Amino acid sequence: MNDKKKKLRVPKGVADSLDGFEDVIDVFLEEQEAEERERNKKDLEKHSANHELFDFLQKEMSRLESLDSLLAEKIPNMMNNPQIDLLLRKQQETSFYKREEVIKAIKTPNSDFLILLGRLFDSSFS
Amino acid sequence: MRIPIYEEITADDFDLSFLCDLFATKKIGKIPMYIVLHHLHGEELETAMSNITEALIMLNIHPKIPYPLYIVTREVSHHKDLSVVRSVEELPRHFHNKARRLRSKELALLSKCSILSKKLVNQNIHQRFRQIRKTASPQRQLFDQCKQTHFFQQIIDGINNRKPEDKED
Repeated sequence: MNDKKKKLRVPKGVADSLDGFEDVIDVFLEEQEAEERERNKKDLEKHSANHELFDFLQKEMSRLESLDSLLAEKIPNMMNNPQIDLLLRKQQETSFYKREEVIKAIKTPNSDFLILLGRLFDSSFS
Repeated sequence: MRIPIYEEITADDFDLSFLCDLFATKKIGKIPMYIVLHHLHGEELETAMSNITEALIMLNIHPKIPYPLYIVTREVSHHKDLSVVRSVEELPRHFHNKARRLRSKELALLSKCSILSKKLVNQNIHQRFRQIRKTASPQRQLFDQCKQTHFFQQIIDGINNRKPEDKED
């Protein structure tokens, strides 16, 4: 919110005739500005509160939709077309081949693993 | 339908029949609610919680879906059926809101929420949860297998991506 004082613009001729009344005008303007600020603050609070409630209801609707989709579609679909055994078998197979690949890679004569192991032995037993 | 924000249930007695009557008159399962049980300890608390669970089963209300019922107590950290929190401040913030007069847009959203919650209540939630629990163990096995495969793949990538100058070192 802008707390700056509002500058009152008056024509030059009128400004001369208001000489000596500046303080009175200032007090009057300050009161008006304070009222306006208060009014704006209330409007803003009211607006943001309404927006909060709307946002909450939107989130709530999306939460309920997700739950509905889980209970009405995903779980029945999972139970009617179970894929878990097939996926598990495939994954076990992949894991087995990957492990074999790792063992093969570290068993080659000049592999980093064997070099480091050799260094470890040399430093420990020499 | 009311705006789904927290409401407290106060009960003087925790007998099964009394709880059944109380829950039947309240909006349990229609809005989020909580019961403060700070004044109960030990066996009394256990009995109260098992009676609450029993009453919910008898009224065919799921304690979490569509709207949860929370037990507020410091003595127990968790319960197999009910959601337990240590204080009212620890309740999930999602349902903390102020009730106020609704505009037409909000009323439309609220009526959609009401329809969805009724749809959820009409489903056999208990059976669905039993089905999920049944597949939990194989799902966990699958997760472990995937983790293992990923670990091996990372080692293979590490070996393959090693720069020739690193090898010389």
